[in-house]
Amino acid sequence: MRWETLDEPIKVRADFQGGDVSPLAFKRGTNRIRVVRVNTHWVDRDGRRARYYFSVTAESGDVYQLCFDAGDLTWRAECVMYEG
Amino acid sequence: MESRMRDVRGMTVGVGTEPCLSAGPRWGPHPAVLHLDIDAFFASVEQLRQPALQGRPVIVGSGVAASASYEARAYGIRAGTSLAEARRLCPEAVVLPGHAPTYRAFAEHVFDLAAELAPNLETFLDDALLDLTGTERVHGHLIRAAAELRRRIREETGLSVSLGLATNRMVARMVTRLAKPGGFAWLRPGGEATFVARRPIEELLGIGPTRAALLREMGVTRVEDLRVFPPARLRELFGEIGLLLAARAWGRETRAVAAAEMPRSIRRETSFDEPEADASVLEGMLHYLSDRAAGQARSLGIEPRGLRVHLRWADGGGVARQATLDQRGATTEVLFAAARELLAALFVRRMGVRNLGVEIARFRPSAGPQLALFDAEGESESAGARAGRLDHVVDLLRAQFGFRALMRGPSLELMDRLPSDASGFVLRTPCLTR
Repeated sequence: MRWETLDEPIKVRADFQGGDVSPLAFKRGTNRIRVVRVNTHWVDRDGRRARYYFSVTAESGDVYQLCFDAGDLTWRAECVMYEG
Repeated sequence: MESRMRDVRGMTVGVGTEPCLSAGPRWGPHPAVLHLDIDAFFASVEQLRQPALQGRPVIVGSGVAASASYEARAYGIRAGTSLAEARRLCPEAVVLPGHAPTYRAFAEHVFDLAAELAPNLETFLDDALLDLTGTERVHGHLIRAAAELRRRIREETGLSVSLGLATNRMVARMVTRLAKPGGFAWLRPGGEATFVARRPIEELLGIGPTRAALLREMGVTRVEDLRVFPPARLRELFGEIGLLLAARAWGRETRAVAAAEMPRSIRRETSFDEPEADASVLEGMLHYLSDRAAGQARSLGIEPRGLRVHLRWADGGGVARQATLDQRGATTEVLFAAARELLAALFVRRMGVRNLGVEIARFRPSAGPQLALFDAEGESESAGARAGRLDHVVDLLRAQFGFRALMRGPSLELMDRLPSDASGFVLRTPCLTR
């Protein structure tokens, strides 16, 4: 089992209701990927900017780690988890 | 939800996952210390990040296991077990290198929730002590309030914690052992001496493997066996801590929660993907590790008197050297200069290095940078004072913008070689241990 680094900017459709943020779908290149489950999330407050991390399971079953930078309001796909 | 009570030598220790049913009377005016321990912390976070790992044996670490899931523990794997041994015990275990910034973020969330309950909180890597003395009028029944904290932590972070409530920090830690994993145990005031009496000697705070081995040779296997020794005899055997052990053997511990605790050592180390033989890269890593260790010491208001550098060669052999730091106000540059000398003395083989580490120890309260007796003419402050001020500014910047905001010195050598995030370089095996 290993994480493969992606570190690429992505466009994300997210729900910001109730003071929480939750990704619903994102776009990698031309691929639109639907999030079926947010496995866990955490906030890294090292430094002035808060970064919100999400481990999400996509429709395909792949697990991605996404990051929302609250400083510049950008999203990145950080890595994807593979079995094996 | 299970709920049970256990009687230990006549004293009632409540153990349960649903204490509301058996919480009994209020705690009253007695001291109350709650110990909170995150179960199989790093491995649990990895199981949360990757649902496919749930229910599977997971080990986090490199070289040795820093954390093992309860599924891995069923095979006899514990924190500290070498990975070679762990793979032999459980070939199907998933071994992950770990990611310290993620674990720190989870721990901060847990401790933030705990801070809502306790006015006085002392945190460690994966556990915390909460002083709840006198808070019953605010929170209501303490045992129920603690159970509610455990529920909130589970709900908001997904992590399981074990709790132990007692009248002092040492007994609270011992009681937590009864609750693991995921439970809550409490010992009511007055039961401390009886409770600790039958516990194994290794569980007593201050008894490490060396002292435990010596005591077992002397026939001391349980805490109560220690009581036959007069305090003066224990001081002869173990030094000043012998007096503390004499009191602890009766369940007494006077150290307050959040009392400034001076660590024995601060260690920063990493391994390399491939054995590294480039001296400039090794120096860069040594500088980075020294900078991290020195920064941690400064944040605690302490300075080291001892320094140790260790490395492991590609063939598995290990060497280490240590030095005494004479200069007060050990700055990053002073520490690195001494570490570089040690590394130069160690790096004598024509072979790559697999693992490199820096350890500082023998701390004393920081007195700030030392002023030189004779400054160079025309200079208004000494080099030591300037370096101290520089460290101070660097620390402020990093506190605000993250460690990566300002890299300096030979660490820059690593910029094109290692990935980094806001927390600094992403090391292959960051220091995951206390």
